[in-house]
Amino acid sequence: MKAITTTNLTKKFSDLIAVDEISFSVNSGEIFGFLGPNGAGKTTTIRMLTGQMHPSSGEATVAGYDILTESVQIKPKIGVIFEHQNLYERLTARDNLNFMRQLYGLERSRVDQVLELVGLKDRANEKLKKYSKGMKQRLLIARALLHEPEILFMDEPTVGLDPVIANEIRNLISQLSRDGRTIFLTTHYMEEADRLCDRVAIIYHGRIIASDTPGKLKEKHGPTLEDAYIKLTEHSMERSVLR
Amino acid sequence: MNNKLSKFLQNFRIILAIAWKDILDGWKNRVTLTSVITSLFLVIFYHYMPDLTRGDVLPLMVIFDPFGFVNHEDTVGISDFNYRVERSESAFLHNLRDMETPVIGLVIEDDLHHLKPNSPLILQGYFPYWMKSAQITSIKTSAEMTLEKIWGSPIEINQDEKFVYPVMDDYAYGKTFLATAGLLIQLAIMGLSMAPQLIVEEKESQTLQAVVVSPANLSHFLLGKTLAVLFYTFLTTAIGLFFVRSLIIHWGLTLASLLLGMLTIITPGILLGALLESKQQIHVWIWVMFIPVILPIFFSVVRILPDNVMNFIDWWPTVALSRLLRAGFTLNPPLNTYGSEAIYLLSFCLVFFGITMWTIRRQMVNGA
Repeated sequence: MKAITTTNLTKKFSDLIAVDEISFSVNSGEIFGFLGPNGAGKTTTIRMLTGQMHPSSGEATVAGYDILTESVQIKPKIGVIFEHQNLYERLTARDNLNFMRQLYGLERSRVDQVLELVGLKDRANEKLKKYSKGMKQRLLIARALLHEPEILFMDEPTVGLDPVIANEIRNLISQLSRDGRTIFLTTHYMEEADRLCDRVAIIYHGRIIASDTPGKLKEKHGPTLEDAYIKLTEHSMERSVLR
Repeated sequence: MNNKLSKFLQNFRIILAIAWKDILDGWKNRVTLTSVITSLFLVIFYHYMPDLTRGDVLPLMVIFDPFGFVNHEDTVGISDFNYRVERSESAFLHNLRDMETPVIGLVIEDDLHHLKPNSPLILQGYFPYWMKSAQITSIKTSAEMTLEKIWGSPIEINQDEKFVYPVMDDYAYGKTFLATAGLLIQLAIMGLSMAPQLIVEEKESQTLQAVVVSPANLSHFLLGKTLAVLFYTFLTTAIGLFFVRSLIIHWGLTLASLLLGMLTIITPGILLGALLESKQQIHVWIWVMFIPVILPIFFSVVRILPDNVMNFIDWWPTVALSRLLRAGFTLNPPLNTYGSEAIYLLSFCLVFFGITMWTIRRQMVNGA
C-alpha cells in the first residue's frame, strides 16, 4: 500500500522551476527521507503534498487521495511538522493544542495525552515565550499528532537543535514509526537520514537524482551516506554545467 | 438532512474555534489593546471636547417668521441668545437638527406690531428631540423673559411635544451627525487596524500554514477572523453607544446598522491583511485607508463638490452607512430606503469577502 505517490510533480515560480517533474512513492509505515541542500525543493514538495500550495503540473496522491481534488479527505490523515516553529507565541502550549483540537473536533483529554507523549504536560500552562527551541519542537510534534494522523510530514525537524534535544526528537520519530505511522522526513543531516530512514530520495535543483535505501546508496556511491550524497550532487552539478 | 446539519455544525465549530483563539490572543496582543484604548479615548474626546472648547457660548434661538412680521429692531435687544430668523420652514427645521448645543425654535404667527396691550403673545416652541426636560424648561423660561423685555407683551411659549427629529437623508451637522461620525471612526479604527493585523500576524508567524493543513479552509479562516474583530469592535462600540444612548430612538435599527457597519469596514480590513505582508506595511496603509473611509462622510455633509461628484459620494459605502446609522436616530425612518441601503452594503461586504478569498487562494496556489 502506497502512502504517497507523485508523478511528474512540478512547481514553477515564474521563471524558476523549484520542483521539476519528480516521481516517487512512499510505502505505508516507512520512514522516507527526502534529502537535499537548502533550496533544492524539499519544502516546496511538502507544501504541495500537504495542500498548502498547488502544483504547476503533475499528479500526486496522499493516503490514496488526489492532492488537488480530494484535499478535504487528506487533511485528517496527515500531520505536518513545519520547518519554522509556527506556534502562537502569546498563548500557552495547552491553548495552542486546544485550538487545533477544536479545529479537528477532538475530545479535550487528547491534549493531555499528546502533552504526556512529548513530555510537556508539566509545563503545558506556560506561555511559549518561556519555551526553549527544543520544547517548541516537541510541541510542534504534539500538535501534529493530536488527531492521530496516518502520515507525518516532518520538514527539517532537528534543524538548529542542540545535539541532546535533536537525539530526543530522533528517538521520538523512531517510536512514531514503530507505532505504524508513515513518515516523510526532509533533512540535510545525512547521519540522521542514515539512522532513521528506510528509504531516501536525493533532490537537487528540483530533480530527484537518486532514490534507494541508505544501505544501497552507500554501497554504490560511498562508504557513508554523506559521501554518497556529496558524490551524487557533485556529479549532478557537473552534468548541469556541461548541459 | 442530518448530514447537512452535522456539516453545518462542523463548519460553525471551526469558525468559532478560530474566532475564540483570536479573542483569547487579542487580550494579550499589544496592537489590539492599543486599538481598543485609542478607540475609547476618541469616544471620550469626541463626547466631551466640544463642551470643553465651546466655553460660554450663548444658546441659539431660531425664529421662524413665515409672514415677515419680525423687523431688525425687534431683535436688537436679544442679548441672552444667539439668534437667527428664518423665512422657510425647512431652513428653520434644519437649524434645529443641525445643532449640538441646546436650541429653541420659535414660530411667529401673529404680527408683533399689532398686539393688543397686555395681551399675551403665544409662540410655538420647537426643540431638538435629544434635549432633556430640564434644559427645555430652562431655555424656554429664559426665552420668554428675554422676549417679554424687548417686545413689551407677556410671552408664552407653547411646547406640546414639538420635538424636531433627524431625517435619515438630511445632511445636518448636529448631535446625531457627531454620534454617527464618532461610531464610524470607532468602527474604522478597529476594522482597519485589528482586521489586517490578525491576518498579517498569521502570515508572518507562518501559523496560517498550520491552519491550512487542518480541517479549516480559507472561508473558515476568514469568517473566524471576521468574528473575532466583530467581537472587539462590538465591545468598543458598545461603550460608544453608551455615550450616545439618549439620541437613539430605534435600538434595533441602530444595532443592525452597526453590525452592517462593522462588516462594511472589517471586510476591506481583512482584504488589506491578505494583500500586505508585514505589520510595518499595515501602519502605513491604515492611514491611507482612513481617507476613503472617513473623508466622503464629511464631504457628504459640507456638500462643496460638484453635483456629479456628490451623487457618487452619496453612494460611497461609508456615506450610505452613515445614513443607515442615522435611521436609528430618526422618528419614522423610511424602511424601504433602509432596506435597500442595507442590501447594498451587504452586497459590498460579500464582494469584498469574495475578493479576499480569491486573493488569499491565489497567494496560496502560487505559493506566496
